[in-house]
Amino acid sequence: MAVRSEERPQRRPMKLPFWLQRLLLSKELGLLLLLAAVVAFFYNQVEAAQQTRVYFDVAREVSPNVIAMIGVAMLILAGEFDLSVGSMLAVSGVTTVSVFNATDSMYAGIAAGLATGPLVGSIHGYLVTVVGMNSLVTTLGSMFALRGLVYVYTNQTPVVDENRFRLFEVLYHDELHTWLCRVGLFGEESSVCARVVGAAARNLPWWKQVPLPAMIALLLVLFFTFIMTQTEFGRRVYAIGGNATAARVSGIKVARTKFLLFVNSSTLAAFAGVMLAAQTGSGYFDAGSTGFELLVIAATVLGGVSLAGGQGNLIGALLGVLILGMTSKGMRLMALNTNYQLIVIGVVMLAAVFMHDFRRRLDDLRKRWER
Amino acid sequence: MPPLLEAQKITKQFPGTLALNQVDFSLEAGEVHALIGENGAGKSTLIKILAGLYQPDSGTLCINGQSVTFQAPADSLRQGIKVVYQELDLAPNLSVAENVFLGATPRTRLGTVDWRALYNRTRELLTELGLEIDPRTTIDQLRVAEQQLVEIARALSRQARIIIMDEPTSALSPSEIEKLFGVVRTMQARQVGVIYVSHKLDEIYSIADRVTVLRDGEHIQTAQVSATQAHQLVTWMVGREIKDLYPKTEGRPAEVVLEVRDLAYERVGPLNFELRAGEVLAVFGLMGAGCTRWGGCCLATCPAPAA
Amino acid sequence: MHTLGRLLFGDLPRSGSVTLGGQRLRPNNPGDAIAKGMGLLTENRKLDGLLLPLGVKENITLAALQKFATLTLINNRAEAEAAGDYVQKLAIKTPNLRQRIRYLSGGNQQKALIGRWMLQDLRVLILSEPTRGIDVGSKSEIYRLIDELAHQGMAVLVLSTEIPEVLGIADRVLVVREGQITAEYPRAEATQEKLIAAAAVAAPAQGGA
Repeated sequence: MAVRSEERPQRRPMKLPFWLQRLLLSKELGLLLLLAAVVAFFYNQVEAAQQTRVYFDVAREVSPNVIAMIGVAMLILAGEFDLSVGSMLAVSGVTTVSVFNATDSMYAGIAAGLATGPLVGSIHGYLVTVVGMNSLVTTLGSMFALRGLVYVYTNQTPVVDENRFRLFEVLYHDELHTWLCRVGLFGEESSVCARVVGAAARNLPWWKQVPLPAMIALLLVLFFTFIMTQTEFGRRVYAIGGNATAARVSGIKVARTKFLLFVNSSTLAAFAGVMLAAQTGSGYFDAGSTGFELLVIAATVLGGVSLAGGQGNLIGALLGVLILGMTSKGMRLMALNTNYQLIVIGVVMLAAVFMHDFRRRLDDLRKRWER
Repeated sequence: MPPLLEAQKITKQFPGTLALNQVDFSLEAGEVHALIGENGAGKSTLIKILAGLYQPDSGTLCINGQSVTFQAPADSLRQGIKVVYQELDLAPNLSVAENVFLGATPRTRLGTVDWRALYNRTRELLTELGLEIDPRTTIDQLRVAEQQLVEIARALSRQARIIIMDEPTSALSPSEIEKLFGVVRTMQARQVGVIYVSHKLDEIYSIADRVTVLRDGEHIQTAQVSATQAHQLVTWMVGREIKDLYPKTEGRPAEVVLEVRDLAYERVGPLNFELRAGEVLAVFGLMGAGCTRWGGCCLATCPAPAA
Repeated sequence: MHTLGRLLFGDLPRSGSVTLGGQRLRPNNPGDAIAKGMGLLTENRKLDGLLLPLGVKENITLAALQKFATLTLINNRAEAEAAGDYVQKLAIKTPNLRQRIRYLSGGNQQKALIGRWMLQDLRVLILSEPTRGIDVGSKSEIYRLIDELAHQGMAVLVLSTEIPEVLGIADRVLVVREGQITAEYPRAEATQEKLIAAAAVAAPAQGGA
């Protein structure tokens, strides 16, 4: 975006154009370089990482994380937390498949799965904004309660989709291209569409290999980025995270905005859960149980979103998810023991947060120097 | 005999302001010495220097004729100086007794807390001050006035020789103020020196022996309270020139825009006033008078609890 | 924040009525107060006023955001122009509109917050300790601004604990003590002695000596 020169009164002329300076100093560029470094490392170390499909696999695998991240990051930007998204994956997945089996209708199942989001989200929103409970504790509580509910309901056995809805499973496994053919949006019914889901598509040119879930996740990130940067609602979220009191005395309805954010977060997590259920064709009681919510928050922070609220953006958080996803995938390709993976991910996170801090100190230094 | 506390030529400079300029102050044992002045006169800076929170740029402090320097609040406490702030530093979840003996809890031979001794000694102390408070009550169940008295009891339990009270009555009712004054007189009888900071002149007349007036960081006057008229104190406190800072031009207030009727909230109001278009209406109140951390707000111009 | 400001503004529950230009303000609804033309400059800039992580532009336009939005979409150009106008009008020293407000001096931060309310079509502006903790230069600029606003017909209410400020800028002074109005003086009659006396000398027992 062009910035008019009269917006900077009383400044000496700067050498670089403003937009270029901003780009060079932006957090996102740093994250992009970090991602590139991670990719380059594995590309050199592991032969398997030299195939294009590996990167499409990563994109597919992180899609549920990306989708859940959006809601969590928006809450963090407003200064609140949602720790329940991992359990929400299981709740919505199990609900979806259970309703499949009960009604024999795919659409009813998906609708029911998605509906768990607004339901749980409104409860969170009510407890935090009306009752005045702390969001960290509230969603921590519901993280346990929801997981327990799923365990009790499923008796800790996966709920298998008895109808084997093909159109459901392709939600996770299809390529964008195949799927568009499948639903008849992309030319006539062609031979491509007849192919087996997923694996056989790998001889196609790369643009036909783009995974459907990754595209959905990307579109959602772009959509919510638009909301956050171009709309009043987004600005309110930043204002609330920046200073809730100031926002309130500026006439912003803080409680209502936060309520919507809780609903949004749970709904996106529910959608991620539906997608995970599509991966296995079953509702898995332990979906997201291995620290999913913490990984999502970690990626968000890695992506430059301040835990204090008001600072950061979804593109950065997306890069955060990709960096963690890529690191994890690369180590699996190297056949590293999973225990080492935890250590490496932890170190990558600490390094990234250190980098942000370092940048901020640099920023402060620059400000002093400019004065 | 040298005075209990003597501060000479205390100067403290902050970026942009001279908070204290060569200020003298002294306190005798068994004396109540009032310290008054407008907001920003330098009262709180002086208190903070005595409490060891700030170090003066120059000047000397003597206790019983001995020169002392305070590097930290602990040094000041060790010399027997105790400040009772408006914002009390009691642990609200602990009992009265635990607070009184916080950091000096009596122990049994096994090293565990000697609860019986703790409660008995606290009860003795409270009785001595004429207070009927159960040592087992937790602080958050007490009224602000009682909390303040517990703070004083704590100071006395540590053999405090000098007690500084910063706007102690701002949150108290008249009967509570009487009780506080009773305790102050007990302390006087025990040869404790009391520095009493207040805005309220009537209180100074009922409790203080001497009064010192500060203005803009300068020592203006120290006098016997009984020999000084109230209007004389006010003159000492103000008397500053208003500089050319204010480009005020005469306005022509027009129709009434804002009408306030019976506005009330907790202890504020009911207030009635009007505001006209083109008018600048100021609402003036003294800072600190009537504010408490716990949300009881007596003055319409003071912080309320965060919503 | 000063209780009185928050009460009038509807940021605290209240009893009684506040009527602005003939319309009664809804209690517990700052948005309604703003919509009917009231603004409140809170006295603790960092705690209650500034959006520290955000830029100068976002801070200035916060309360008037709907002016730059059509169907919730923010018109960035219009917003930047309006914010830029006030940066110039109030001589706010900042390298650009994107500068984080955190890095501005106290006086410039305060001017930005006043700009936030000037962007509104206000009829009543409540200023709570408008010059607390800022340098003398910015102080006199803010006083000039207050005077200007009043001349343009705005009703200005200043809540202050600074006597010189009160005497310097007010047409009329109300003195408050323990939640009650104890005195009212027109500009010509207000003196430091009267204000202090009305604010400090207690009602219950006058003297004891």
